[in-house]
Amino acid sequence: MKKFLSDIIQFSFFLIIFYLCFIVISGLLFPDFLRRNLIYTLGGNGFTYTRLKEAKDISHVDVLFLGSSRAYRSFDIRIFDTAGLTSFNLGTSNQTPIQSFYLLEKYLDQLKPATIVFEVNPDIFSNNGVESAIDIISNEKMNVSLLKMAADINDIKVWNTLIYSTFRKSTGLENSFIEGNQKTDQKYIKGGYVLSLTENFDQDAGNSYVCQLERKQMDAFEKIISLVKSANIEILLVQSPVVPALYNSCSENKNFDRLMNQSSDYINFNRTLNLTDTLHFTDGQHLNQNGVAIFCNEVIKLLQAK
Amino acid sequence: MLFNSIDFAIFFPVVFILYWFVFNTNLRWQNIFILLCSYLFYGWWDVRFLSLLFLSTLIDFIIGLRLQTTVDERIRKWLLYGSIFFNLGILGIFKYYNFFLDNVNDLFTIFGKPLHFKGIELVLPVGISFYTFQTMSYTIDVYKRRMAPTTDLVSFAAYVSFFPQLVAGPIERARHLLPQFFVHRTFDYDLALRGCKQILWGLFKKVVIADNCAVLADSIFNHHTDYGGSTLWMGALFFAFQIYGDFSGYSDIAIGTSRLLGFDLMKNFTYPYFSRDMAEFWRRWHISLSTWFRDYVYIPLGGNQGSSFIKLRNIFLVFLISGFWHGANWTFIVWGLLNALLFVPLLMCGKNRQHLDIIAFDKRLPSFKDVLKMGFTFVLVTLLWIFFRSESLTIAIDIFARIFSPSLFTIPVFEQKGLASVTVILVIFFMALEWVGRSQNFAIEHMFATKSRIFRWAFFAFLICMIGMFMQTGGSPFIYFQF
Repeated sequence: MKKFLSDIIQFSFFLIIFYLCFIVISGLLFPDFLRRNLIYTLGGNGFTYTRLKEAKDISHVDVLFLGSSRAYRSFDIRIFDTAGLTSFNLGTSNQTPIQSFYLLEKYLDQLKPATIVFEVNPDIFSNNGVESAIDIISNEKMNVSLLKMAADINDIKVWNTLIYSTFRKSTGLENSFIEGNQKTDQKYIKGGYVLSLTENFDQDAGNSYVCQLERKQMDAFEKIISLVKSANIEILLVQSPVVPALYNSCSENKNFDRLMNQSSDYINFNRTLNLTDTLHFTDGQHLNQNGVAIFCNEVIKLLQAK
Repeated sequence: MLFNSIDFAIFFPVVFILYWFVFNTNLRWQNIFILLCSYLFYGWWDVRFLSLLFLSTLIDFIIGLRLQTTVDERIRKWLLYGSIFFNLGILGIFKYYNFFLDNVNDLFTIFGKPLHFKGIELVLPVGISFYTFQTMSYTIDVYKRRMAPTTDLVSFAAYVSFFPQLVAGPIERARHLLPQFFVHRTFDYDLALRGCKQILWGLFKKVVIADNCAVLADSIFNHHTDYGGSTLWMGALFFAFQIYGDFSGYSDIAIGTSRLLGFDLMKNFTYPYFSRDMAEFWRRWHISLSTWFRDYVYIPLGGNQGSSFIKLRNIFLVFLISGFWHGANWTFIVWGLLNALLFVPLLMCGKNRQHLDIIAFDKRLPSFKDVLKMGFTFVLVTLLWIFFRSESLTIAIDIFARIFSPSLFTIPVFEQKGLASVTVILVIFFMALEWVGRSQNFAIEHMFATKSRIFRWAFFAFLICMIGMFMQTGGSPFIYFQF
């Protein structure tokens, strides 16, 4: 038995080193299809790299926005600025409450917002959080909180990305990386907002949900609420509008609204705003600039009323 | 609890340590511990069905004891019938009740007298087909006086519920596994090492081969009307490797886990896709079930003795029951009957036992003739899997019609081209290792045994890296859980 246990322990050490090397070599040499569980998205969709870099230099804002692409493509900080509210948009691609909690823990003390507007919807609560975790890990320097987030998600893809990202950043491979502020049909606006440059409505994109609220996302959400409340910060939960076909495809809407109402002030704009697919959206779940203007003004009214 | 889950990755090391370091001094305590762990393992899925497992265990334990003390052959026979009736009864209720009801309804509807019987919503208890067969083998063997019944309820319950093989086999014979609960078990380094290797190989088969093939096979079979013959054929091929990787992977993990606890389970697969005819395939595929049917159905019916009619009847009956065992659907019954149809000519010509050896033994590559035979058998097996995989006979027939059409000669279309390419590469890698290790109990048992330790470790670490790089995340259940 002693020999067996000793072999197992020795092999475990050998395996750790072998695995780390394997991930690094795969990341450096293999094409994407031969490294399926190693996804590295530095400078990927949503300008996360630029946004997180910018966030480090910002402090004291009136409003901090959190959420997925429905947050960073809906809350136009320029409109809020016009209304006299300084703001920063900390939304990231597919951001789920697990990532929102991570970002809040990291940036709350520095940004010191008076109010947090958190874009919530059943889709992100039904998400396992892998894609967003990979997005943040790829674009953020290694730290203990990232490790905690990876442990919360506990998915092999996230662990692989964490290993590879740590290697690239610690060896300075990303030092020369510069992310442009425009990608195909999207433009990054200082302050975290992403402007959609297309006005055409793509009816094939994002027209159905898988709605099954995940327990771990609910837990993370509860942690966010208690973190924000303990810091005496106002939080407004907002569900941004999507096209009716997409909204109605989710069977959890009523349940979700009930849960959100129990947690804090909550407005579901799918119930209050009357928007038209082709006039106000670029696709199933993202507003165009006309839609953004209407939506932001409604949110401003709410904030001012508060 | 799934073998490919974090739960099991925590559960088993804890069991292993307690088993060898705390309970190792007393055999009875070790058996009690196995029993408790097995019930925890099963209850993890649904605690309600533990009562069913316990009831099945208790009834067969009591019947076993009564069979020993009863002299009157008539009463002994009734006792045996009681055991069979109970075990097949619970199987019938949970697995086949709604199927029979639907068919009776359909039959009466055909004759213009619809009955509108309503089925009942039942959850099929995981592993019910496996443990009921295992306990039945015990009472049948005691009845036939092939073994003496046990008076130790704990050991018997541990035998029935032994967690490594409880939910998907191998279906053990009481004569083989039960006596192992009465012998003091000492830790064997070589056995444990082979166990670890077999678990690794089983995991690789399941999470790398089966789960990736499953994504592709599912996307094709679930939208079969969108695809032409060549894509559907690829779907059938992916399913062939999915079911093999999935089920033999489970068996490997079960056998490996048992080895780490000092138990020896029977082999369940011996490289079935290298078979040269259907008879050889059935000697190599799901061996514990095939031999169960051979020992407890085929031979009692007369086996291959008697007239041609009797031989034919026995073969068809065994394959029919075997198909029906897999599930309450006509697709499984037709799958069983078609296998019988392909098996019968070999039996009638006396060629059903012509390939008992290891293919191309002592050679690196097979002969051209063997390649043709293997290829032909594999094509037949894969075509029959279409019935196994399809949700209804209509769908299966439609898929056949689409495969055997001019579109078979077009380039296959995949929604996930990258996944399809890498899966093909992985399957080739997997089958190459299987070919190299085909004379072993499992492919990597003695692979690189003569090489240095660092080389062997690098190989095993490489397999683990492949798991990390290519596993499907989310943990899919094993196919045979549904049976």
